[in-house]
Amino acid sequence: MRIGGRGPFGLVLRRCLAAVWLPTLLAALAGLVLQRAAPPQLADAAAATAAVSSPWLMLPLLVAAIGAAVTAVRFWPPFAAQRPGAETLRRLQRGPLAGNGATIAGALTAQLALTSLVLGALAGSFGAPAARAHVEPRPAREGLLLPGTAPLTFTAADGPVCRTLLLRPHAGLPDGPITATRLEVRADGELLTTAPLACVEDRQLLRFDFAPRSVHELTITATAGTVPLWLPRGAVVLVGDAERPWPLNAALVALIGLVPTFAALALALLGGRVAALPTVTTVVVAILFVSIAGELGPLPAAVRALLRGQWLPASPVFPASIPSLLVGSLAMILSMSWPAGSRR
Amino acid sequence: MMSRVPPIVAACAGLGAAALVPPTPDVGREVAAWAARPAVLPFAWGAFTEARDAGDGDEVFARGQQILRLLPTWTDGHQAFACDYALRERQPAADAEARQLDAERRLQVAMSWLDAARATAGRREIDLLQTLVMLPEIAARQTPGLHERLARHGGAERTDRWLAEAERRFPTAAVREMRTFFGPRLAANMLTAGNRDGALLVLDTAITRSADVRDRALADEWAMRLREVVRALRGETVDLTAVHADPRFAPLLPFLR
Amino acid sequence: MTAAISARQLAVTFAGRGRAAPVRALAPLDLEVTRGRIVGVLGPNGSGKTTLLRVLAGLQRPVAGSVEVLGGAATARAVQRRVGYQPEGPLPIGVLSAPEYLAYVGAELGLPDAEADARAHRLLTRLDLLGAGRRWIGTFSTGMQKRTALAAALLGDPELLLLDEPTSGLDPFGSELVMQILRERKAAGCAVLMASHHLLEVEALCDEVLVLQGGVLRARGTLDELLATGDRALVLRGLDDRALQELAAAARARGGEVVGIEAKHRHLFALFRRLAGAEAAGHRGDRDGAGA
Repeated sequence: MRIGGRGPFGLVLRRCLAAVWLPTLLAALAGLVLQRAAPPQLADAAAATAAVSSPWLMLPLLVAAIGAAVTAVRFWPPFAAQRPGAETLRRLQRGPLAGNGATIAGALTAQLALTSLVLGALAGSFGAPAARAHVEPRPAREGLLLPGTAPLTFTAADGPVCRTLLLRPHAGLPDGPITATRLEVRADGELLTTAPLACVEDRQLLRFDFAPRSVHELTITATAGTVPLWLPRGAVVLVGDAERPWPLNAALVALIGLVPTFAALALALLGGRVAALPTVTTVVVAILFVSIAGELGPLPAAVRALLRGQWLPASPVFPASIPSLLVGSLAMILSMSWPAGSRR
Repeated sequence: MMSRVPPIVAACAGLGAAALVPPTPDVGREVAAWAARPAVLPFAWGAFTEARDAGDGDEVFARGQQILRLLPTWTDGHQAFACDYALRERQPAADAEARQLDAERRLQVAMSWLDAARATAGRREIDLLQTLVMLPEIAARQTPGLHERLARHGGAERTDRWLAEAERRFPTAAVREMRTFFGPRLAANMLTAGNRDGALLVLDTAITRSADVRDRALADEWAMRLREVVRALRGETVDLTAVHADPRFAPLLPFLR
Repeated sequence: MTAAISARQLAVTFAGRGRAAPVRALAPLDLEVTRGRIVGVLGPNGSGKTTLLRVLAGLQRPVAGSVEVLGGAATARAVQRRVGYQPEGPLPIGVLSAPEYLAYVGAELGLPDAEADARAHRLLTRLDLLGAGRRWIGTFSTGMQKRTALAAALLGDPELLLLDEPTSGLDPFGSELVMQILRERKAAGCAVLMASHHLLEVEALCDEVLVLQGGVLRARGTLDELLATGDRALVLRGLDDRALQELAAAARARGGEVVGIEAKHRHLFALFRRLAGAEAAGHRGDRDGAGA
């Protein structure tokens, strides 16, 4: 009789996969059906970005995360106070994490496997575009754009080869009758487009494609109009020309999806020193629900970036994961330094 | 014995509820939306604001639809999201023709949405009907050339039907006043499209409805001006000095020379 | 031969909750358990039996005194691997089968997979648990859980066994099997410290007994020492009542006291074994044969 995966990692991994694959599959199917059943009422359905499907893609991710975390908490007695057998495990386990780290790793691996499959299968069918790097060039100075004012200059490090420019200027109140401000954009001194670029509303998205070229410096000049425009950080985005493999992009999203689960399980481990299983389970579910459905964690932004065709390594999604990672790490350190079972 | 009581009570309550509100798919959807609303709405709203910051116009519109599916009776929301979609330009168009085309497409989408929302609007359906009447006018003022384009594609006739529908569903003085005061604009749009008979019919209706204008002096003056316009359009010789001086008849002036 | 357990002035106190006074769980006690002996710990609930076992298992730090287990600290990982501990209560991780649970325990004890599997198979066969197959241990009866816990405690071939109520919840056959296994471990040189409420089993099994009450050691010694009263009894068979009365009169005439004349009852377990044993033994024989 051979038993594979004998340690907490293997045991939790197998248990989580066995317990969560069916709910995740059902949630994925429900998400697919709901996405198909409630399309945006646009005349041209293709005009809607895939990003509006994010709730339906988030559904199986939420189910997988909650399922894996709750399964791990219920499986491993040290996650809650006064669970029978916790002492037996504490005596058997070695290392500073006493098997808790392996348990969390097992749950996260199960979630990663399930969500990678879900994202790989669904992102394509939801119309996720090819992934491209979105680069934010840095402004040399901040200032208002109006006819007669100095042009604004933005620099892109390494001069990436780009094909699209996205502008989303903030608009101020005009001094006189409203006339759309016309813009002229040059890349390294050359005019990027001859198409009219005019902006009259606050945060109006201006998007245009150009022949792929390396861009080191962008110069934006206002040529006419009365609406003062302001281009803060993030208002100018260059879209790279190179298509990146979207399955890898989906796998990165699945990886980011582990961050809230890690934080929730680490907090559960800490809370489990004093709280019983129902309390710990409720806290884990609440943390994951709020951070995934409530968009407090990095996963929703990552999912939308995937569905908007943004190449994740070049997006600000990864830095957004740092707070959750820090919270989880701090909880782990505290739970390690708080010995369990010091009294009966 | 006691343990059987709650299921029996629950079964009776269920049967009573089913008798009062037959479980149709619509009722099921409404109950599901009612149950999901508190949990989902805050997050749907967050996604909507995020889309406004980082997404494009189509995504904003679709996010708005997600919210309004949860709040189907929120007529203010329907009007706000539809107007935002119809009036906010997506992309700088290459030429005027492309800009008109895009504006017309957005207007059609927004109006079909507003029309669909009437089914759940209840007493506030009149607000949606008024928006259906006014939105093409606002869009046409924003996009040069759209006015003529809408007129050629039967926009005025559609607006007249919305007005008639509003009057039929909500026969109030305010709605009848709207129909009479909107007459010159509609007639001008029909004349632009070459529909002279339609324009005369609209003006005749406006004359009839002017009897319902609550300010009698205004009603009499308005009816007199309308009659002068109708006679002029029929080829009679009329003194149009007062009509020319009245800005409310400005859309008709090109057809009265 | 070195002592398996050597404790001096061992004391445990639990802090009181809030403003409550601290609770003394164990008053200072000395304890010495040599290899190849079975020591029973008796006492009512709350007398400190489990606390003593937890201290020896390295799960509870004493507030005073010193304790040495197998020549090292009770909390040392190397020592703990040589000590089999069977706590009271349900098993952890109820969603594993018995073989999976033993495989997990074997891995944590550092046993090679093949050896752990072979030992687990032997123990499961011996403890009549092979029939449970892939059933989760959380669904086991109390007796099956106890036997699984004992198998886990025995898996590392320990030199010291710390057992908390090892036979509670077991049927008589189960209890007998456990006692038989403990005798075998004793014969192999293993020291056993077991807490129990089953006085008859302690009497039948233990070489030495500690009696705790309220955390204080009330009595200790071998069974002979503790049970000796100075009285001696004469057991007779085959005499009728009249002959017995004559013998009683003769005893009184010699200055003795006749406490009573009563029929000696057969031990209940002997009766149980006579009535039900044959059939159950037949079943077990079948299962063992299938498992071997």
